[in-house]
Amino acid sequence: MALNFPNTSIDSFTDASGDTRLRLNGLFRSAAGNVPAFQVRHDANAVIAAGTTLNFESSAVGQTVFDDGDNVSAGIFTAPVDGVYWFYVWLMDENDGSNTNDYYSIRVNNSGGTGNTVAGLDTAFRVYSSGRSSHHHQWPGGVIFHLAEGDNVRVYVDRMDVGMYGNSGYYCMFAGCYLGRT
Amino acid sequence: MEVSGNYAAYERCNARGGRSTGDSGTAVEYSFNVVSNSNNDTGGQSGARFTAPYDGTYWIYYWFMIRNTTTQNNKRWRLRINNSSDNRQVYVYTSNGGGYYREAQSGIIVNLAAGDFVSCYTDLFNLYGSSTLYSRVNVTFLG
Repeated sequence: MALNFPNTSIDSFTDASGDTRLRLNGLFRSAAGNVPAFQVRHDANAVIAAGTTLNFESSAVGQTVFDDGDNVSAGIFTAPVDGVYWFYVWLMDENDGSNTNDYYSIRVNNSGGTGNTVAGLDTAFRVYSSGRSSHHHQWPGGVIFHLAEGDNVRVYVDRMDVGMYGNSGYYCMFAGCYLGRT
Repeated sequence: MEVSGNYAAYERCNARGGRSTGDSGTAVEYSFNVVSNSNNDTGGQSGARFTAPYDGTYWIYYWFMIRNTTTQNNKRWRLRINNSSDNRQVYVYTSNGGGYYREAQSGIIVNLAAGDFVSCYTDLFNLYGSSTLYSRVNVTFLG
């Protein structure tokens, strides 16, 4: 039996595995509500130093490319609902010096991360590099976090010898989106 | 299914994992000892493998680090389907380097049948595995 609405309906079907599934017809999920999602970039024309939260939005010429749900402030995303979220960072080194044991992290509630437990999977994720001096090195990273409403997520530069390149948003980006309930 | 408030709050199948038991070794499936699954019914991440619980499209993303003691010249690891040479697999390749830490990541969107599994075959690399902060698998069912 289908439930019919203007321009859409809901029914069930049997998939290739023989399982019964619910289906929304004529309605993509994003039409059912505003899915929290964002992309911010850094265009500050300055080296991004260690000990810094990437402050994309409020930098001199930073860009908020989009912020569906209005959940980003000063480069920090705050989860509007409990659930599963995907985050992705794209960064590049400056090329004028050492790059030894440098790392940055995607942090939940500004935690440096505990690691090695299931709960630790939701504290932080680190991106690490060493030993390549005087060259531009791109080192992105992405992660799924399970967040509670009100948890915040940021990109934090933990240790950098020469800083991150911040002259163009083409090389410095932070994005994320809500995936669904846990 | 539930759509609540202003958000499409579906219970999304996803899985995550990390490794803290040491480096992987070469020519093996990289196994994750810290694993979290949500809404998988059957399947999900266990050890080295994510087994698809449903027919459909999945986003698969691996993030690894290569040790600084590793020669990185002409080496690769693979993101594999059913640990085979299935043409959906992806190679992650490096050359002209070694002696430093570097990232080795790859992500794909792939159609899987229920029961298909995805894993990382380390091939020629001995991938870092001493902390879940530096080794991750992330999987999401897209629909």
